[in-house]
Amino acid sequence: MDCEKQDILRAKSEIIAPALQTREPAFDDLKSSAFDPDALWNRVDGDGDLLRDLVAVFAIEAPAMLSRIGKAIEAGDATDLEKGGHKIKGSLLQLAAPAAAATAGRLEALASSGTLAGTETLRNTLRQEVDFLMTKLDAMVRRIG
Amino acid sequence: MSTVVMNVRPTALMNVLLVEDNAVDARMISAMIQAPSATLHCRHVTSLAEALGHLSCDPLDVILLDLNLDDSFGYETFARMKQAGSKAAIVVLSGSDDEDLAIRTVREGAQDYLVKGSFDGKLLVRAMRYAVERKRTSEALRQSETTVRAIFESSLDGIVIFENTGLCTEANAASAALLGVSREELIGRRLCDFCSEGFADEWLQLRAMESGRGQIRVRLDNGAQRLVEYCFTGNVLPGQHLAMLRDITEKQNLEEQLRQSQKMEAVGRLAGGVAHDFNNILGIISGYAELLQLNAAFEAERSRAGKIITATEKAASLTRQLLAFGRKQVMSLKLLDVAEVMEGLSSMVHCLMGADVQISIQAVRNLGWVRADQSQLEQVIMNLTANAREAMPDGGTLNIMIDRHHSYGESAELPAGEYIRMAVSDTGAGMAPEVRTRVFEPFFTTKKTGSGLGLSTVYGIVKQSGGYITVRSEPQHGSTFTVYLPLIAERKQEEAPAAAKPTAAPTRGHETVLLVDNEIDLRNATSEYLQSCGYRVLTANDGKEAIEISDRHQGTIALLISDIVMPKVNGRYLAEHVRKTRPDTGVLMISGYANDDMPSRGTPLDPSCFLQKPFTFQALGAKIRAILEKNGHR
Repeated sequence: MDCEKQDILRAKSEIIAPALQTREPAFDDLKSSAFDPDALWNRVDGDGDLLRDLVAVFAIEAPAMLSRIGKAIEAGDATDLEKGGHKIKGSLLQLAAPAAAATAGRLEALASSGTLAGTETLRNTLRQEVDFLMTKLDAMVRRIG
Repeated sequence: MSTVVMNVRPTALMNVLLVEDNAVDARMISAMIQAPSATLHCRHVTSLAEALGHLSCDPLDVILLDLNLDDSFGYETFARMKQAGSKAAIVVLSGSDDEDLAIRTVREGAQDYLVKGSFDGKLLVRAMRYAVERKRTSEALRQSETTVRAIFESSLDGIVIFENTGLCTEANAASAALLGVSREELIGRRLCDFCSEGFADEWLQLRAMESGRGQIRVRLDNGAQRLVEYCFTGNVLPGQHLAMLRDITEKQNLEEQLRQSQKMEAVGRLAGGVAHDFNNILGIISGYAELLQLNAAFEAERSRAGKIITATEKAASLTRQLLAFGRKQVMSLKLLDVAEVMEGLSSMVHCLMGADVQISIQAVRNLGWVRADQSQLEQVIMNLTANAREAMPDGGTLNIMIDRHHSYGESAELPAGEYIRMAVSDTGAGMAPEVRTRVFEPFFTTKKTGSGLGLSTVYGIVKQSGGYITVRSEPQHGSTFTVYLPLIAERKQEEAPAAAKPTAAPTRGHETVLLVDNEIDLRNATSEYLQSCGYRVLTANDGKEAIEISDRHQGTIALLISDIVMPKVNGRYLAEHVRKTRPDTGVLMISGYANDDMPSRGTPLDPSCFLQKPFTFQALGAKIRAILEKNGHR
């Protein structure tokens, strides 16, 4: 193989090919045990519009869901607390927030067993985790432009 | 709230109903199933009530069902959806990774259970497609099971499932009825319990062979026996064996009756044919013996000829019995009161039975009238009572009962109708089944000295009289022969006066007669006799030759004497021709068969113009004179 050919192949593999590849957004700095942006990005199949939609919907729904949980705890309504915990858990699972989903799951489980003790603390934890998630989601949406 | 969130339908459309009250989940799931390859029409509702409303108006393929809704929660959501009876596949989407709930919903009919957050779009779409296929398959299976169950339940044949040990695990109503137990009683029992001992081995053989057909004799709990045809298929499911059972008892009985009837018919034809040929031969022997007797110069010769004639009469008596069995005996039918005939024979029956047999005769006159030959009916009674006597060598009881019987045709042995029934029962040795089935066969006898013609003669006479006969007998429990004769009239009607009996004495004549018989020797002997009586005799070998002679002959022919069954042109056709061309010519038909034996060959002949072979020349001479004098010849 002559030198000219070798140069062409090298240029092709090291310069041209990477330039042609679609660049995936990087979320490494957003990743934590509470939130897996890569998993969410995969789940929406790289669809930025969908991600934006989901975040917008969650931003509207989350306060209402947290409010329902708070009212259920204040009213001592275990059934409604179980439903509220279950509902927000589903959303958190979809949004790749395992820690918050686990907290919501614990709330649901306690309510399901008829125990309301400790639910207030869990509700506070959940609210903080949701707030934290929202900041990460906003950052992620900004990242994809 | 109900909104169309997506509509992609290039080719194969799948209608999806998403039941989800979580907006984030709904948006995510809707987006997931929006794959380019998917051809989906997805409608989203947020409550169970809305979802149930859609079931009746939208043809759905898949329902994506969140269990926890505002108006329904947990398993209850699935149960209510299932209860609504949708034909759509149900894929449960739940936030609960609850294994028990997942198993429960799938066991109760959900096609899949997916935990939210654990699947992407491709997996969800694939799960939906698999769910649709599973639903279709399970629906087809359900329909197939419904069909098979309907066949199983309504089959006229018994269907039984057995396990390896032979225990019945499932049975339909027909099999229970066949085995004379309830379905519940049958399940848990073995087929061997109902069968003869040998079936246990047969069962093992069937198990080894995996399939087979055969017949088994089934013993019911009430003691009755049925003949059952089975078809066995082993391991229709592992360790589950199928047996189809069909009760063929009645079919077998009917076939046996048909075989017996055909056999008797065949034997009857044979016997009748043999008797016919014998009668012709006896006619020749008797005829020449009579000629010898007439022309004998010495008393010794006349006596010897007389012995030949006596012997031929005895032989003719035997052939008459054969003809009776073959239903080819000449009958003199008239209306008879069977009880009256019985009364006339009562003293003879008492003599025949002897002191050690008690006799009970229950016969009431005026039950109705049958049409039969009296002498034949008497022979039936005497033969049956003689048979009963021989069955009771150490004494016993003879019962004769005559009554009316109405048959509804329930038995193949006896068609529907009104009958006079005569039952002759004895308390004798009875018969084994193999004897009973052959009892009416000619020459079949269990006695050392019996001719084997007594009961066969009875059979023939009853059949020739349009009646039926049955026999019931068991070893050591006596026998009952029952004769059924069709009731002809409630009251006796006036009958035409019987034809005057021919005078016994021969009468000489001078007229021209045309004698036709293909039996040359008999024709020659008859011709010789008639000539010796003074008649001018024209002879022909068959009907064709006779027609030629009749047409060619210039003078008067006073009488045509013709055999009936002949080659070329038969006697009936010949007689018709002569009546047309020579209206003044009398006709006398002679035959080795009975007068009314050939219904397909024309109406029965006037008995006064018929003579059955073998006849004596004296009887022939008298008959000829009677006909000629009736026609004005002197």
